[in-house]
Amino acid sequence: MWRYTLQRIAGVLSQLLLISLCAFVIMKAAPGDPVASLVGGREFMTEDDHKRVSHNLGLDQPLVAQYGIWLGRLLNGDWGRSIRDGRDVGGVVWHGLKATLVLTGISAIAIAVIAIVGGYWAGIRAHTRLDYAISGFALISFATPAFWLGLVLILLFSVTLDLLPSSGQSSLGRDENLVDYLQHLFLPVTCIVLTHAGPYIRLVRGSIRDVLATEYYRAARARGLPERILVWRYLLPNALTPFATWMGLTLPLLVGGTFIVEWVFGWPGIGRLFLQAAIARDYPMLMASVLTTGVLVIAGNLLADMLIARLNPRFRRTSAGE
Amino acid sequence: MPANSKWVAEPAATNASPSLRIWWIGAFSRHRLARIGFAGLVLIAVLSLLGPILSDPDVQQVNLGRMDEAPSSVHPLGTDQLGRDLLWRVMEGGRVSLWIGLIATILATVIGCGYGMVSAMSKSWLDRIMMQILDAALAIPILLLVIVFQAFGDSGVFKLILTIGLVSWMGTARMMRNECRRLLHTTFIQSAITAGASPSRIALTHLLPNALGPLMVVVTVGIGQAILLETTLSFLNLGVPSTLPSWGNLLGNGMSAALGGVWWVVVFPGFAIVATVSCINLVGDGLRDIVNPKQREKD
Repeated sequence: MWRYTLQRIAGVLSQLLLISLCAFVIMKAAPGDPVASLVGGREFMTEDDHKRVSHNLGLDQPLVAQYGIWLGRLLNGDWGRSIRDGRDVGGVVWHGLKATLVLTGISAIAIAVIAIVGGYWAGIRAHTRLDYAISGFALISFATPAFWLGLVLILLFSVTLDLLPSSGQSSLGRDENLVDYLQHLFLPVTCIVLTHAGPYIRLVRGSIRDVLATEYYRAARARGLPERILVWRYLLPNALTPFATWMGLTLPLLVGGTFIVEWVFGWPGIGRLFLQAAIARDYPMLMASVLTTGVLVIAGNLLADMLIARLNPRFRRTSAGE
Repeated sequence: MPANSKWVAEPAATNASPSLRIWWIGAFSRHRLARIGFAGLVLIAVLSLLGPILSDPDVQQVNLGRMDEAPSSVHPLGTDQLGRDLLWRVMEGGRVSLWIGLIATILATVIGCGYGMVSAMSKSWLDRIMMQILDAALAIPILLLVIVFQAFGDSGVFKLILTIGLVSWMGTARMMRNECRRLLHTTFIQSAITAGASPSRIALTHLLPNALGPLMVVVTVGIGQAILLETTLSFLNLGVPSTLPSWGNLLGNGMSAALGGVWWVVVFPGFAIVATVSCINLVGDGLRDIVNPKQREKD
């Protein structure tokens, strides 16, 4: 157990380090001279001025030292200011993180429910019309770009039918209330779920079929155990472990998809901040959103690992025995 | 178990006999869904390559007299904001999107194969470090990486292909490394090593040809994902320059018009993407059933 925990911590730390390095490189590789941009251009400064300001900002130090100083500032909560509008990056990102967590969290839960229910029935009734319908949906879902489905949903439900709002988190000029919030949440969540559920459905279907073919399951069935026990004690726990693992591993894909959907539906999350920053070349904001996303994904992976450990008693026993 | 698992049990599946290639083609053509996907793909490719050449040059001209026309018998998919025939635009866009997907995937495959094979043939400590790096890289959302890359400097087709290739090799590398590790334990490769074959000879004449099956599955699915990535980037204006029509560009340019009621400029290019990637995935599924990597993962 200890060995596993230590390995896991080492893994998380190396991932965090890599992501912070990525963010640092983005900032450093950004075109343009940060010192010259302070006064509006290189021609407005003498060579001595340039050296002095560089020294004061710590830009004349070796890159490794700069990275260390920058990391220290980050840990102290100083994330810098946006180039575009001068807002405090830390505060803006924190605000966006909450919106993203709601959207991603609800979508992940909905995907899990749909994948388990759909995959279960497709697996149990393999090679029937029901299976073909579910598997066909999974195939198309995997091939549909999220941004396109988002546009189609807006066209259908907001423009043509005028049923649901097309963008934002709340309606203008109205007090914030739950119904309004849920109405705004509905289309983005639907879009994410429909475009991401496919691979998970197929995975659950495959695992269910695998377990159905095992000898322990056939033996349990032959002993005449009631259906309820067969499904809840034998079939589902064994079939869902690979699903939980896969869900954790593919979290980066889900987060990436959420970003595009946030963009299409104007959802004020990290994804929209990130894309706005990328398009406006707003490097401090870009760096901060990359960093936050990395941390979000790592946290999600840890969560999935803990879930797997809970689901799978074999894992608990072997790791405890070490 | 898939319905066609009985094929895998046939000895031909594991024997590297001269008839292997013929067996492959036979097994593939017997797989119904793979056949449908392959036929669809050929149709889309032919339409994209020949369609723009065969269509009437007049419909390709900007003509403000026929802006935003709804689908009709003259323009089956309608016309766009500048009066160009949408069917022609979609076929042109297909050519761009398909090429970018294909070339970017080839690039990713070369990088992934190289990384995976080097990792598999390295000493165990180096192998472990290389896999740890791969794990860390896989934890970063691909889309994020791509957008960051694209946000620097000008956008161009060459740079876009490079970007997509550089972020899509990780899955191939992982698969290749595991497959090569497995192959390195087999008798025929062990005897080749004993006979004194050089590492490059082992890699190119023994490992690569024997890993070709699972590699083809990963590559096929990769092409579909590369196309989706390209369309997403182009939609965000971070991909193909807007002077070139790609499926993503058509959608990005048509977005505001579509919200004003011109639905066809958004709906039809999207259908083209969904159909293409679905067909590619059907072919990938067929290959997977034939190769059955599940059998191999148990090693």
